[in-house]
Amino acid sequence: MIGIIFGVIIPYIAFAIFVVGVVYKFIYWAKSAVPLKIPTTSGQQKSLKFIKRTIYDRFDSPYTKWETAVRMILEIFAFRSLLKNTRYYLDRLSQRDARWLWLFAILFHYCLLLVLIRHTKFFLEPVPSFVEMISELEAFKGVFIPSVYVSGVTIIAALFLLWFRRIFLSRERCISLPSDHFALLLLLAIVISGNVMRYFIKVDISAVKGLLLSLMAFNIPQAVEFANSIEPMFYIHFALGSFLLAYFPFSKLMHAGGIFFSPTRNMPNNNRAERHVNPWNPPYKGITWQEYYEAYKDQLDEIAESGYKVKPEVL
Amino acid sequence: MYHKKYVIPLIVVFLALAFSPLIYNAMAKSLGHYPEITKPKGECVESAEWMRANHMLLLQEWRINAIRHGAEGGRIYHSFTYGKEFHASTNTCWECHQDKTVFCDKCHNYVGIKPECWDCHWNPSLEIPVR
Repeated sequence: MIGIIFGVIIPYIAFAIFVVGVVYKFIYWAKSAVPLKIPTTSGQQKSLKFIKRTIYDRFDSPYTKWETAVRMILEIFAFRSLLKNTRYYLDRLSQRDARWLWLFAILFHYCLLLVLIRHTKFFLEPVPSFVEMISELEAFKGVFIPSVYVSGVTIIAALFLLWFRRIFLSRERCISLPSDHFALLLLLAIVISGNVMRYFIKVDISAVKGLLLSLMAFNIPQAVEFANSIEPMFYIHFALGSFLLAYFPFSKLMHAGGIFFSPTRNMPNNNRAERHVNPWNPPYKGITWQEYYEAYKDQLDEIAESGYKVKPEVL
Repeated sequence: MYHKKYVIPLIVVFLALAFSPLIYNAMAKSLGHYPEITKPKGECVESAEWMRANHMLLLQEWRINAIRHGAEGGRIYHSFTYGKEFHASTNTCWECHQDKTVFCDKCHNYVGIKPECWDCHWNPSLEIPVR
């Protein structure tokens, strides 16, 4: 029974919530207008010719679409905005390096990427050779037996560091909401249960892959058969993973998709060169000079008589 | 919806990534695939259910017992399922599982695992190059 619930029903529901939720969020965000051009920049913006811009300025204060795209890519792969997380004190005008967030975040996210790539061996048949290669590289080709995957262990450390940052630093603790702790604890529970399953309480992983492949084929009887033969330890990991999938679109974890929609990052800083029209403004209808002149004919003529230039020279 | 020319490709890419395992397996025609293993003769040292999940722990225990406690009877393994005694050695395995390629490798390839054991240790499927 536990196999049917946590092995067949909940994964389907969770995956459906995940896909529908993420697409819903994308559409919801795309529907909201950006009334102002608000890129946050930290470089010299494009201006007069004699004001020099270095290569850093080009990507910190992008002017064209391509520069903005490069900035986004750097943001996604190098988390450059977290590098600005330096501390200022009131008593002195100095800054102190407090870039732990960047270090912990990059440690966690790249470990997560490697862990996800390694997990594709449970979803893909035949297993791609690069997945096997990454697994072997991570285990240093079996220096430890059984193979200890570096990313699987590091991700626990990174998550604890991220969590301790929220617990032990007073200001971070002050601004932490329950959802911040919950996301970290849920991820911790998943990675710890995964590591326990890998190194201590073993499960039959060929049946796990059989279950996943038959779920993908919508072969329910076969899936139920596999689900009932797998050890309970697997379901702790699998159910928590399903909960994470279902929780993902409606939580702060959705920053994975939200980064593409953040207006402070995805807009070029060309405020002075291009007019940014607020999309919810009503369509503006101007009047021509002739209409204006007809409306205020008497006053304009009177002003023109006293020697002022009223009529624009170029029409 | 604003910026449709960016958002719609993003949604398409997301959907493609989310369903990539399904697409990959459908293209490889391996949906619902599970390796068929011919059952070897005889009984294993423990129950097949237990062995399927824990054989690597058993081999590790055997290795440690053979290396550290070999002289004090570490090479005798007491099966907790059947209560019998076995010689703790991979040669005991090879008595029944006479071909690694049709038994071990089936599942190991299926889940993409390459045990390093066979870089050094002998197995019956090994082809010794003729001098």
